[in-house]
Amino acid sequence: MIRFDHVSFTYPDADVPTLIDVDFIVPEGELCLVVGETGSGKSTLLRAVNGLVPRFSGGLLTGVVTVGGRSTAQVPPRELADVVGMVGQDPAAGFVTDVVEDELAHVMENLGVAPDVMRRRVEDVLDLLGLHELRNRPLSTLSGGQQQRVAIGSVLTAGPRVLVLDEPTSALDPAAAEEVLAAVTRLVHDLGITVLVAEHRLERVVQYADSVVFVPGDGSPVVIGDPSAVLSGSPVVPPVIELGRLAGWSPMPLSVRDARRASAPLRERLAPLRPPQPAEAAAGDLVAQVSGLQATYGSLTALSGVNLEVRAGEVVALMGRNGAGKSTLLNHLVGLRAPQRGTVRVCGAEPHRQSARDVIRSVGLVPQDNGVLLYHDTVAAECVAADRDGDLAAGTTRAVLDRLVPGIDQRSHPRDLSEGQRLALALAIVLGAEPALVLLDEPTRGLDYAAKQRLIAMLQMLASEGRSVLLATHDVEVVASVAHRAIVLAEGEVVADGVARDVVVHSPVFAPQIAKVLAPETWMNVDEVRAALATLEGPSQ
Amino acid sequence: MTVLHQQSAARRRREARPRRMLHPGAWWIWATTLAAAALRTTNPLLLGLIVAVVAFVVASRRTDAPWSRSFGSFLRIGAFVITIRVVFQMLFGVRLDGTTLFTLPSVTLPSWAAGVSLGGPVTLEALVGAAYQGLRLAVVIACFGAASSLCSPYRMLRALPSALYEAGVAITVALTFAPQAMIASRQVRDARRLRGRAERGPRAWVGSAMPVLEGALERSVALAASMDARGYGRRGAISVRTRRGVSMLMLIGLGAVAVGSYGLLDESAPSILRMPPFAFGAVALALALYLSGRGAERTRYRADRWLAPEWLVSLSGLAALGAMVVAGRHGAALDPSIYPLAVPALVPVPAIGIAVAMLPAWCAPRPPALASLETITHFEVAA
Amino acid sequence: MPHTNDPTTIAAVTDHRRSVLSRCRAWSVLVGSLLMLVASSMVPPSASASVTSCAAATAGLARVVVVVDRGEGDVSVVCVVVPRGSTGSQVLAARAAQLGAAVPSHAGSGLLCTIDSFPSSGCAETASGSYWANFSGTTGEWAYSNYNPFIRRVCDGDVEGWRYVVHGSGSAVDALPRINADSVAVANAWGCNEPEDSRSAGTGSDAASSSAVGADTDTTILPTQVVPESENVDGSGVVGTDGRPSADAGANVDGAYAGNAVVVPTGTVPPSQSASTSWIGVLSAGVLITALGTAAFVRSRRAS
Repeated sequence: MIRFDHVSFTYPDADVPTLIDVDFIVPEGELCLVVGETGSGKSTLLRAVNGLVPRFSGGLLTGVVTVGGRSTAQVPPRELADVVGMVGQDPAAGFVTDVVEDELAHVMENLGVAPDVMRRRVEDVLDLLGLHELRNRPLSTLSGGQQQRVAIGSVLTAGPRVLVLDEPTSALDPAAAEEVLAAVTRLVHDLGITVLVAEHRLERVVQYADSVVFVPGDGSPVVIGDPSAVLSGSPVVPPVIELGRLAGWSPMPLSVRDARRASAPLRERLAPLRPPQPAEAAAGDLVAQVSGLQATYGSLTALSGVNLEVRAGEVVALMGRNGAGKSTLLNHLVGLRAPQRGTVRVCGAEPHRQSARDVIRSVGLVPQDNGVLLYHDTVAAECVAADRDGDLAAGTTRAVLDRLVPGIDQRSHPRDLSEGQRLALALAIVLGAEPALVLLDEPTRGLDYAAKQRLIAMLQMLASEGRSVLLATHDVEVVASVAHRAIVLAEGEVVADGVARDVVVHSPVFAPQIAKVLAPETWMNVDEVRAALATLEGPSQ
Repeated sequence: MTVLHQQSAARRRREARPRRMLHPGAWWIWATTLAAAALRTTNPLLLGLIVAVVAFVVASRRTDAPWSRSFGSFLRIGAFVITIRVVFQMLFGVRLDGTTLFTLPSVTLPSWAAGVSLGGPVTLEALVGAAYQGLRLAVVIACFGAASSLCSPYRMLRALPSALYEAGVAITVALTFAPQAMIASRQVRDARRLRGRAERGPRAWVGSAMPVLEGALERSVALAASMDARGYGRRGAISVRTRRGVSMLMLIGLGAVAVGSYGLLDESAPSILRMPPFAFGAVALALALYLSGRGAERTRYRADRWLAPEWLVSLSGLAALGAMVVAGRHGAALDPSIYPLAVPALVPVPAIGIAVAMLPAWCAPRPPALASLETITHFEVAA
Repeated sequence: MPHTNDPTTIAAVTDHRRSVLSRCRAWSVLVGSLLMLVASSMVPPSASASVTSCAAATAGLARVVVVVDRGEGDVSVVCVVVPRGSTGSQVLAARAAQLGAAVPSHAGSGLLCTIDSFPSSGCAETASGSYWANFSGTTGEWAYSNYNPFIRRVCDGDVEGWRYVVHGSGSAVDALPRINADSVAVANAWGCNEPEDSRSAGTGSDAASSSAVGADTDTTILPTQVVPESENVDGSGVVGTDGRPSADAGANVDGAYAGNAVVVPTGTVPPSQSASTSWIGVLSAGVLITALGTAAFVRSRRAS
């Protein structure tokens, strides 16, 4: 159905090709997962399927990409609209109309589908993706998961034979991700649609995949094959496979269910051991206090009476569904919004009344799209500007950056950095002014496993320096590894506030894969298991 | 009591009925005719009236969507334009006699640059004249701002004739750039605060111009890519030969219309370059539109309808323009004298015309609100 | 807010305005006269910037021959006396005052629109290249002037040419006034042969003071000439003998042709309308705009 025939691609002004001699075929009706480290060219590969690369990106593409028998070299993306449905990383950026129903109909209008057929298909898709309740809602009022489903629906109404999804769940909370993936698997199984999907959260998708394309990103050839076979040799793997490698299972389990069946011996070996107990956060001074905070957007309530305390040296995870009010809370803490009711105090002052210069000394926020913080040409220029903004000694920001991630080329453009490096740069800019409280909004979006590990190390370092960290995230693995406390927001209210391990493990939605595999014991990640097994084997040797 | 009940029941029924949006074309006709009316005058009273009327209509009929909040920004851009115009007048403007307010150091330019002056005495007349011209431009900007806050750019894209899809990407970027820039500027403003920079003042403007423009362009291109991937501008079954023919025809038509309109504006142009190319170009364009419209199979899910309110809205704009043109023909003081400086007069005919353009504040349908959309959904489900 | 009506609403607005007007009339007169006072007390323009060789600082009067050619009908030749160092536009204003004609009008940019109310419309037609071209005939040849008449200063004996050019290029290739500059010099000799400033020079710098000269009505007698179109082909024939303007030149010009010289005070402008009526327009518009603006503001606040 999709055929890449010796495809190589070089972006304009790039020295090295992004894709080199990519050659594979995805047969009809398969769900094919594209894996690779950040910056390896996954998105480029996906966008080449309907010709957006190179037609919109510029650059030089050699070789032939064929979809449903049509070559992208011969027809522009718009002529492939009835064959390929493409959903990008940020679904909201691609919305054309204002209301859900119109958005679903848009592609059919372009294809010239008869009005009565249009109405029927819109109804079908509304039902298929569970969007019925939302049909008249303005797109701007939807939550992330709803937006993602609408985006998928908006290409599905054309009746495409191929669906291309770029990171469909990375911005979503676990429940919303489940919704989207359930809808996608239904499409594959019921309608025989071919799906090509790229995803960092392998643990969410890999169990549904029929085949995996591994894009190494270092110039070596692309590997395609059976998921467990390809993944056992891949550097990017989900936690279950990592556990499988540790325990030496074969064949590799891809789902929690498979792993659980294979894990009986492992659980027995672990039985005498206790999982590490949660680290007690040093009961430091009160850094931030929120009481009775309310916020509304027009007629929508984002926060209703939130109470929250953060102490020095504490890492607090803020969890909850998309649209639960996490970002709104962070914006209040950093003074971007003034409270409508209730008070917000950070280091004794109300941030929204402080000048920007004063605020950054007490609290700093790394926003979800951290690129907006960066607007200079080089990393060095960003660091110099940050020093100037905060009246810091020259070289402060640079020193912080080197401590977080050593070895970033000072001359490179912030846009050319990998997601992880860019996050470190944004974090360094915020940390230069030595704020007592650091806020991070969805820092793991777009990070691969290795980058996540580095993020965890960075956060631990901050906490050990006595800084407080408040982390809004969906990523339970990160929460399990680093957070002392977890707060769950729902419908603008705090519904849970307690030790991270307890909050996370006892929720069927939030529990990490390892915890599910090794239940009822509360092992959170592979590192804990590895460390425990080491103590077990240590004395016997 | 009973009467009250009946009234409120009637009102509830009325509000439960799904509200529709006015056809985007009607808003654009209204806004462009008002802008055209503004271009025919430098009378600050009439220009002020136009802005006030436009602001009133926007406040009465805008939606809750993000782009609808952009009108204020357009007004700010207008104020900026006036300031720039006045400052430039001070620095490089034509010097006028009259009441000297202050004198800037002047530079005497060599004779080949005669006619250009730098610095020198700044007179009240010169500043007033510059302010009038700046105001006119600001009003035109406000009119377009009104159009883009009253109807989303996407609905405008949908309403375009299909032949223009040929230039799909360019048009998408052109039409969505301004609203995207508004969103991007809000983002950049927040980011500046997060970095601890001054949020106001000229330095903030200078510092955020590039990120805002880059961000807006990126968003517009992303949108264009998404639209293209979903078949926008698709030609369907039309043959390659016809497509090329239509493209050629459009190109020739546009060229001819350009030559013709230049000829029409420049009265010194030979008559052969005036009406004939214009007419030829118009015919070629119409033919191209027809051919490509026939080729592109497009359908409408829920077509925007053109009903009485649409007629009223567009005619009210035309009334303002018409009044302005008629008044101008009859020698009304549309351009108040600068030298000698005279008090501008409130010319009645255009003023009434502009007042008529306020009609949409009542006769355009009220757009659906976020909250009411939910009630509509529930109502429909219940029914 | 009324949701129904259209004409009634407008009527309501108009009524409202009228009542506001009557209430504000007293205020408008007060504010208007205050503003006038402020405006008139402001300093006259300094004559520091000068682009011609005769410095503005030189006291005394300058006789300037002004040739105005509409490009059709007769060519008007008028001799005016202005304080030395006056600008080209002041010379035009002096000419208008001498003839009793309408003051030359300018567009917002300062562009000269009309001389003697000609052309009757179309200052905005600059796109078509129609404009009043300015020439200096002082050397006996017409020289296209690139200078802004507001900054170009005149000397005694200067010849100023204004030609209305239709579809011109805005450069030196545009049409010249239809009589020769040297024939104008003859007119100059004929009309302005008495060196006027020899007497006033004795009074020193105050000769430049407009009021002093203006009061001195017997000093300058300036005949004006109109060159009939038929006679202007050859520069030697020159000056019309009768000195009467043709019908084409317009009635207002006609009445002034036999008049004596008037030197218009610099920088002052004859009020064209009565102050109170014009400020009423401004006030009523101001009230309307403020009312609408406030309504808009309140509505948008309530909505959000």
